Amino acid sequence: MKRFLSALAFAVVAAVASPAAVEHSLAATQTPEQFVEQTSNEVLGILRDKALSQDAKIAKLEIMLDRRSDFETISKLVLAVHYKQFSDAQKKDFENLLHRYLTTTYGHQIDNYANETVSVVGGRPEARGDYTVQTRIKRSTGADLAVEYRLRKVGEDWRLIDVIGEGISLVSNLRSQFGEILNAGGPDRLLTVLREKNASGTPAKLPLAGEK
Amino acid sequence: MSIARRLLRPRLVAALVASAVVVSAPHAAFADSAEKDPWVSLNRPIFRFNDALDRYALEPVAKGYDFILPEIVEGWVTNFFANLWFPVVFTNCVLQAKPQEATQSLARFMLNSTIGLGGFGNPATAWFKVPSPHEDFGQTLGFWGIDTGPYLVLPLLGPSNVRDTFGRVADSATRVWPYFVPWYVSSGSGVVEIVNTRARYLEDVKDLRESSVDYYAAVRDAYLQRRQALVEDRVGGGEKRNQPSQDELYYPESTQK
Repeated sequence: MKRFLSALAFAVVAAVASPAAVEHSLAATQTPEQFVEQTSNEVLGILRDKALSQDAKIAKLEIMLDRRSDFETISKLVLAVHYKQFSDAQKKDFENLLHRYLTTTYGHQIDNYANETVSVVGGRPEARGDYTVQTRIKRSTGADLAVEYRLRKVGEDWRLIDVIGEGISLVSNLRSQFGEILNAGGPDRLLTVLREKNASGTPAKLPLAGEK
Repeated sequence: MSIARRLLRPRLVAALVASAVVVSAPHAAFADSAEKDPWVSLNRPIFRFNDALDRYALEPVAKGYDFILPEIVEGWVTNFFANLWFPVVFTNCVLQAKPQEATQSLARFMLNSTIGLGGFGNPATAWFKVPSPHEDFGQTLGFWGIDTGPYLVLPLLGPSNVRDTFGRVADSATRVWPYFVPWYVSSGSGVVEIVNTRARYLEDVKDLRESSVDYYAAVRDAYLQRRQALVEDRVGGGEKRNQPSQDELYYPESTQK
């Protein structure tokens, strides 16, 4: 059974990753569509590289995660109203933990992606200079997936700030998941939960609204 | 409590529900799905109950089913039940004044019921590339500006909202076929449909359970976002609109400098 989530995970990795070697070729004049297209192709290259071990692939993709996405903005969007409660040190902490969380969550599934193909099917300008690129992921079995990438300009370059799979935004989903943890225990609690989650890969036990 | 007050209560509840459905802002986006969940303290226990039932009853059955049946057979079963949704999809395409989608839906039903051997095959997609519209009465209500109302977890049935719960009732009435088949056939096939559907999402549910830090909130947000996207025709296989996304999500005021 082909997995929707793993295809989505592939989309996350595909969008944010690119080999360091080609970084200089990403000209400032690159369109958002080219940014996504080039990135996807490069990622598929890594995933299909039989010479690399799974760990090596994850490590490579993780380095790229930083280059192609704007984690400061992603953190702000995910934390939303809670962002101001975080001290500068906690903000940095959160960024690193979130980064780690996304790669550990999705990284172990990368073996499922090698047979997928990505094509850019369109794009649209958004409010205040953002841009959304629309893609379709073709899977060997099952229906195609509609995946959108939200990009924002950082200086001259496009950076990824969200992935929307079949209408479901990753930023929004994380915001909802973190929201009640923050309401219950503030920044410290969330950082602890993420740290435990990253260490164990299993859900932390949380006292939440409706549970006494 | 007096008898009169007991009698009044259902009407009060009905009034509350009605006021929850008919709210002012149509297509109201949310900055956080928690805003849509005033009944969280009721929803979470029901969600936990459903989840336990799934872990101990439905998931094991679906695993067995998935183990025994080849993937291709599961695909046939999926096609068969999808084809039976035709009256619902068609009706709601019409109710949303979408002639192109209605035609696609009708064409799919005719192709798949005949060349597709009673709906087990899917030549409409495989050979004729007819898009598969995804419409139901919950979406029709949303299309005409009715808000979702609060998020609601239904016992056994899972995530919903007040609007989609009404939609579900309407759709089950539109889905005419149970009336002319004996009850034991329709309820038996209902079980097969549920198990088959669950079998197709074994990995997805497992992944989400394992990866989320708050499984309840992850499901709630995914449900509400997906339904919103379907109402706005941003996803779903039929006519597509390419419209800017919500500002609340990408420019939270609290983080503006």
